[in-house]
Amino acid sequence: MKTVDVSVIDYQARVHVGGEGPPLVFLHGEANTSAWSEIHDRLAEHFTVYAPIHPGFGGEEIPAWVHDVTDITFHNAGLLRALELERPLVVGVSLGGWMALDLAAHRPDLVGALLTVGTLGLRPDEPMPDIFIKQAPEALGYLAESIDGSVVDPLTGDIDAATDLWVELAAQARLMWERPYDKRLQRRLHQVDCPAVVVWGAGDRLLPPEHGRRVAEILGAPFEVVPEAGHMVTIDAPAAVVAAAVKLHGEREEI
Amino acid sequence: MEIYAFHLMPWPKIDPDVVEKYTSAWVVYPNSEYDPELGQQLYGEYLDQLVFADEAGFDAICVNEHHQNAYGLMPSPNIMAAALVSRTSRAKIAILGNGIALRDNPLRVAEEVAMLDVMSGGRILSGFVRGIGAEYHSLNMDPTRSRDMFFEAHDLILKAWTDPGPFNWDGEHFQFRYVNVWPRPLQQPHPPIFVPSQGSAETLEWAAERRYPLACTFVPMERLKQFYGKYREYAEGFGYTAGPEQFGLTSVVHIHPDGEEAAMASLEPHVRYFQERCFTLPLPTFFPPGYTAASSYRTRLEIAREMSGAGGPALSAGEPLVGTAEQVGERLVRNMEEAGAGKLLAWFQIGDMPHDKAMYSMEQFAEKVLPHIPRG
Repeated sequence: MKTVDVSVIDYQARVHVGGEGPPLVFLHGEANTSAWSEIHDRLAEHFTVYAPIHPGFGGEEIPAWVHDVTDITFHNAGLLRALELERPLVVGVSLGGWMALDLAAHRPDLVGALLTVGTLGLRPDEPMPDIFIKQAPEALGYLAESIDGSVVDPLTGDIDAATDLWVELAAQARLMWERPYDKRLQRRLHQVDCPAVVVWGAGDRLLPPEHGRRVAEILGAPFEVVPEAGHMVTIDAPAAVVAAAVKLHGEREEI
Repeated sequence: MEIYAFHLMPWPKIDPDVVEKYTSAWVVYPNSEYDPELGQQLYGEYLDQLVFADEAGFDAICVNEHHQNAYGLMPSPNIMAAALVSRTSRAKIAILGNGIALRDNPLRVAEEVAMLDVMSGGRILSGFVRGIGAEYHSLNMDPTRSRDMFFEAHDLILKAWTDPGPFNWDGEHFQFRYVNVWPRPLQQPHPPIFVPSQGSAETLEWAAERRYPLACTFVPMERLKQFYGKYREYAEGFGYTAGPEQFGLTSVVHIHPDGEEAAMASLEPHVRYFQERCFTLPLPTFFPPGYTAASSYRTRLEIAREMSGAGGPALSAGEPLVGTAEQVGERLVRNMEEAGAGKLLAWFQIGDMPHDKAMYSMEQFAEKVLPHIPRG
């Protein structure tokens, strides 16, 4: 794995690149998950993985031009062009899933296939739990079953780790503090024009699988529920996400 | 030295079981716990206390702004200030302060404070605050924009008070074709600005640059000295020396004829009520993400760790001002000198302290302490 700098207009994006095979763009989710990790390693066994760190994430200041997810979407469109990726498979997790959906809706010409994992973005029927008001260890518990949150406890955990998490939470807040969804997305999703699959953890405490089923229905995509996994299936059951990506890629080749 | 009468107007019936269930007296503490009839009585008593301070010769009486909580019942400080304008005649009315980053339209603040200044005959001290983190939860405002919105709202309000209107304002956060505030403030060029702060470096530098007096609450003496030291450093950088008149500190004041021990025993349950019920502010509520710079947040974590070791927020910088009137007077001067502060925000009614008990301390203070303090 190497990390490359990619210039998009006046912004230097950092992109982790690793593995071999057809291109796969991995859009990370929230809670300090931008670093190369187990899910990246596993995907890299089958794909060339391009994993950009979103603007404002990974410890940097939020750029002034980031107002909402769609600003990230247009940045990502520029990033795909700069990387010369031809309609890659795009995988997005949670908040990164929202970015993937938004990209595929605004620029259906850029996305070859779409895999979302516990994606945010669509307005839920019931309000989503407010993770911003919860203590960090409890908030992390909403994201994955297998995370140990005690290290980021602000009073008893590691003070640097707690500060780092809080800093990145700010980027997330910029994108979803006022509303953890985009009410315009539902109509826009009808523009998506590629094979897709919607993956959901059976034990998701942030958004129930029924919500994921709605996303899948709008996309006309298969809906896969992964047992024994919470919101971030990439953390709780990474093999299931890799299998879904390989299967989706195979079906796309057949078309 | 200047003596202000500080007040939070707390709800005195916070149920410990309910607080425990919701882990907070803020944002999510249910308003079914509020009793409007008791509320009416409390507003009467609390306002009477501040009106007494005006009559007794305090330099200023304070109101402030907090939303959706049982800690302080003044979501609109300007309404409280208006109530005080018509019942007082001498003291300044210190609004500590308007949460200007919390208002969608800062011109509303410019208008309201100008109205108050004219109606009061130029008695308004206009504090500007970002609002503590909890307000961003309560009002669903993005905390990551708070600093920038605060600075822009401040610039806009000041210009609205001082530049002839109408003029156009085309900012990053606010746009107005016509800024033309009627009435204009009575005090010229504008009511004095005051900045209550949690001690973040950005705010200290910003306030020092404009020579705005600073008030820090609920920080231990050592931290307070650090923050004031930082402000003085910035001031030197801006080419002037910050004097004591630029620093305020808040202290609980409680007087008892039998001396310190008796005063402490009499005060203790109300302090405990404040710490364990009013000030129940989990860190994510107090400091939402992006509310301040990473380094300021880290400092805040250190303070929170110190506080949880000490059993709650510091209610005085240095020695608490408790004892006989004479003891309180001596300590007050010593504390202020140690901190290098020139404004004392004297806090009499704390937590669930009943009216008569707060009034006794205020009367003793007015009669036996106030006349001996070097003023001005």
